Amino acid sequence: MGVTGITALGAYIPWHRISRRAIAAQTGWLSGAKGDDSERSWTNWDEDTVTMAVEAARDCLVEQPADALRALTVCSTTAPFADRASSAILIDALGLPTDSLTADTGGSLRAATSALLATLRGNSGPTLCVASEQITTAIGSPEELIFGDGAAAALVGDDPPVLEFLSGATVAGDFVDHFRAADRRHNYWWESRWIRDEGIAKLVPQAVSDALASAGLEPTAVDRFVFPTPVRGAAALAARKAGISSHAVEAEVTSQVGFAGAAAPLLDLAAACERATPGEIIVVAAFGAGADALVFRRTSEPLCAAGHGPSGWVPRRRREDNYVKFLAARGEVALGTGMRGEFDEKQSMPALWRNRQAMLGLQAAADDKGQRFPPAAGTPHEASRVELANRPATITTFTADHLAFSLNPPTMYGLIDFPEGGRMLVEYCDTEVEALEVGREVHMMFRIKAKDERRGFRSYFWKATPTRPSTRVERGSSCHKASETA
Amino acid sequence: MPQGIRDRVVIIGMGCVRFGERWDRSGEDLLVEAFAEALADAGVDKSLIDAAWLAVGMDAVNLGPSGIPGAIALGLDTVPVTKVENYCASGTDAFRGAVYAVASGASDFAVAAGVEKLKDTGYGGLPVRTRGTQYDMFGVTGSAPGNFAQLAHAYSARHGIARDRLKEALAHVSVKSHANAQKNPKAHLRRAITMEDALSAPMIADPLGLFDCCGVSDGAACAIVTTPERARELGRDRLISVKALQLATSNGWELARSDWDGSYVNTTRVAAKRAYAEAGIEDPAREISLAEVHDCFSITELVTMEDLGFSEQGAAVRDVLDGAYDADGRLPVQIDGGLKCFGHPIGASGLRMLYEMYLQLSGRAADRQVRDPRYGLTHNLGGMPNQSVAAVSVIGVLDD
Repeated sequence: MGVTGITALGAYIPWHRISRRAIAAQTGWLSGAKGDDSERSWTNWDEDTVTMAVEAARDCLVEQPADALRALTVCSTTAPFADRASSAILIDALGLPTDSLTADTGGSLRAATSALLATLRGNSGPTLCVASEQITTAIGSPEELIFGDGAAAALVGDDPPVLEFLSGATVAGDFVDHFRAADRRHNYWWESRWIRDEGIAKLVPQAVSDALASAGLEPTAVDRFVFPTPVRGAAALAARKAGISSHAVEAEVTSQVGFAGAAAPLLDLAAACERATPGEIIVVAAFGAGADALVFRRTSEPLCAAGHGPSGWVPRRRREDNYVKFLAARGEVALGTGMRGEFDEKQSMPALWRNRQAMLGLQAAADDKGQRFPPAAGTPHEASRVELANRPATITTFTADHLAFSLNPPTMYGLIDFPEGGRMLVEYCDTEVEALEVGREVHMMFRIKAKDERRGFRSYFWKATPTRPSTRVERGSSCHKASETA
Repeated sequence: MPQGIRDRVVIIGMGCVRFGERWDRSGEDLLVEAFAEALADAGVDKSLIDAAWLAVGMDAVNLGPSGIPGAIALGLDTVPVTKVENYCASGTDAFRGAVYAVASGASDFAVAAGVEKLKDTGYGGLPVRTRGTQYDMFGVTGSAPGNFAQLAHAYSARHGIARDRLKEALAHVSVKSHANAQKNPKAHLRRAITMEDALSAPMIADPLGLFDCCGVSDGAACAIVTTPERARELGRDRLISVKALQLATSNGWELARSDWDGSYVNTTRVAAKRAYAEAGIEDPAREISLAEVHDCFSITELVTMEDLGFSEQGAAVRDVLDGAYDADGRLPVQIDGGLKCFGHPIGASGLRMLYEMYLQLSGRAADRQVRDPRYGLTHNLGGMPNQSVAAVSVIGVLDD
C-alpha cells in the first residue's frame, strides 16, 4: 500500500515571546518602527533548530509507532551545523530506527514543502518530515519584527491519513528576494514590492493552479489557503491571482508568533488541520527560489496526536520583553560574561558516542533493583534500556542559582524522580523559580547542554519543565488520551 | 571490626596561618608559614619528619599536581610526600594518611598539611572546573551554593518547615559564627552581623543569601603526629589524641535510587556512626564538648546538627534558634568562626578544624576557650549532598 497522505502533525513554539512594541522601543529611532502589542517567538540560549525539531517530532509521534519509520528529513535554512546531520541527532534523540534514510535539506524557505512533496510523490514508506527555523535578523531590521522561531513535523505514511494528498506542483527559479551567503549571519532583502508583484504574485499562483489542475479541482473549491509569507499583503494577492477566495487565506501560527521561515508552511498547515472539518480542501504554499503548492483533503480520521499541536504551543508562552536578553540568546550582542563564563566546554566525541543512548535518547538501564540513570559504570551494552523522555517525573530538590554563569539566570536545577523508577539530576527550563516545588510534576524537554564557543560545537541533553495543562484544540479526536503531557 | 586508631596517635604540633585575602603570599608561602608554626609547636627538628600528606583542593590555582611542589616548598629531604585530593574533605583525608602511617608503625613523625590559594582565581566563589568527562556530560554546571541550597528546600518539604522559619534559623547560624570569629585573630571575616543583615542579603542560590555562604579564602594549616610513646620521649605530658577518624564516601545511592529525599547528607551519618563506635561514644549530644563542622553553607551546618546526632531529626531549627550551638550553648559549634568566618581554603579546612580542637583541648584557645572540653569533633565534607565524602574525627586528651 503506497503513501496516501499525512497521518500525523506536530508543532513546537518556544516559550519566550517578545512584543513588537518592545523591539521597536529600542530600534524605532533607527527604523521608524512603532510596533504593537503583538508578539514574536524566540528561542532561549539553549535551543536551536535541532532541539525545536526534536520537540516538534515528539509532538507528532507521541501516539505513533516510531519503529515503522523508514525515512527522516529535517529541513532548515538555519541548522547549527553545516556538517553534522540534524537528522542523525533526531534518530538518537527519538529512538528512531537507525536504518532510516536520513536527510538534512535547506537552501530556501520552501525546503520543507519541497521535502514533503518529494516524500508524498515517492514511495519510501513511513517518513517523518520535520522543519525547524531560527532565523537571526539584524538589529533594527524589519525582519526582526516579522520573523519568529518554531518547528513543525508531518508524518507521511500509509495509515489512514488525516490529510489525504491530492496533488502538488512546483516552480523553480533563481528569484532572489533575499539571500544569505554561507559565511553571513543575516539575510539581505530586496524591495518588498518587487518580491510581491514579480515573485510571489506570479510564481505562487502558477504552482497553485498547476496543483489544483492536477487534482481536478477548481480554485473556488479551496477552503483553506495556507500561505505564510513575510511580505505584507502577498498571500491575499496570490490567492486572488489563483482564483481562491480571500476568506480562505490563513497563516494562523505565523500571525501569532511571527514567520518561522521554512517551518512556517508546516506549522500553519498543522494549525489548519486542527481546525478543518472533514472534506475541506487545504492548499499549502511556500515561496523561495520558486514556489511549491500541495493540495490536501481533510479526512474524517481523528487527529491522533496527544501532543500540544499548534493550538497548545501558541498559548504556552512567557512574555519576555527584555530586548537585550532576546539579542543575547541569539548571539546578536556579546555580553560581558565575567570569568565564570570563560569555562571551557570542550566535549569528548568518544564519550558522547559511547553515551548517546543516555545523553540523546534519555535511556536508563533497567535491572532487578529498578531503573538507573545514567546507567552505572560497568553496565553491559546489551542491558535492557528504558526510555524516560516521555514519562512524567516529580521534583525532589531544586534551586535557582545566581552564581553559576548562564545567559538566562538564575540557573535552575535539582533532582527529579520518575514514579516508575529512575532518578536524574536535571536543569529546569521554561520556568520561573516560583513554579518549582518539591513534588511538582515535570516533563522532559530536549535542549542544548553545553556550547563550546571556542570550537563551534554544542552537545544536547534533556531538561525538565513543570507540567502545564494543554490547551490543544481537540477536534474529532476520539483516539486522544488525556492530553496532559505538557 | 577493625581495631581502629583510637589513642594510638597523638598530635604534637599544629600550625595555621591567618586565613583571608593573602594577596602578598603564594600557596607555597602559606604552606611554609603553617609548617614553621607546627614545627615550633612540636619542638621537633624538620629532619625527624619521615612522611607527609599534602591536601590540595584545586590544582589549577594552587601548587599544581603531585606532592613535589609541597616537598620543595617545605624543604623535606626526599621523604614520601603524597598529594591528597578529596574535594573539601581533602584536609582531613591528608590527616588520615599521616595518622594511619604512624599507627601502622611505618612512620614516627608524619605531617599532614593543607593549602589553598583561592584568591588567585580572579573572582568570588569557587573556581568553575570540570568534574571529569562522565560527570560533566550528565551533571549541571552549577555552583557550590546551588548544590547545597537544594538541601534547604528538601529539608523544608520533609519536615514541613515554612521558608521564613528556616531562613531565620539559617540567619542565626551565620550570626553566631560571625560573633564567634570576633574572638579569633586568624579568622578571615571578623565583623559581627545582625539577623537583618543575613535575612536581607542578596540571593546567591535560592534560598541561600550571601551571608549563608562561607568565606572563600587563602590559607594553610598543618599537623605533626606521632605515637604517644614518641611524644612522651620528647617530654610531652598532656597529649592530644585521635579518638576516631572515619571517612565515608558516597556509593552512588543518593543519585541512583529514589529513596534519598535530599534533606540530609548520608555520608555524614555513616561517618559519624563509625567514629562514635571507634571513640566509644554512645550519646554524642551529651559527650561531645564542642564541634567544628563543615558549614560551607548555613543549611549544611543546620542539617549536620541532625546528621551528627546532636539534634533530633526535624529539631535542628528549634535547637539552633534556642541557641543550643551558640558559644554559650550546650554544645558550642564553630567556636572559631567555622568555614563561615575563619574562612574556607579548601585543602586547609579539615586541618584548620583540628587546629581549633587541638588548641581547645590544650587549653590554649584564649578568649574563646571552652571550659573543660572532653571530646572535640570535626566534620569535614567534600562534594555535594547528593555525591559526597564526609570525614568525622573525634579528638580528646589521652588518658593516662
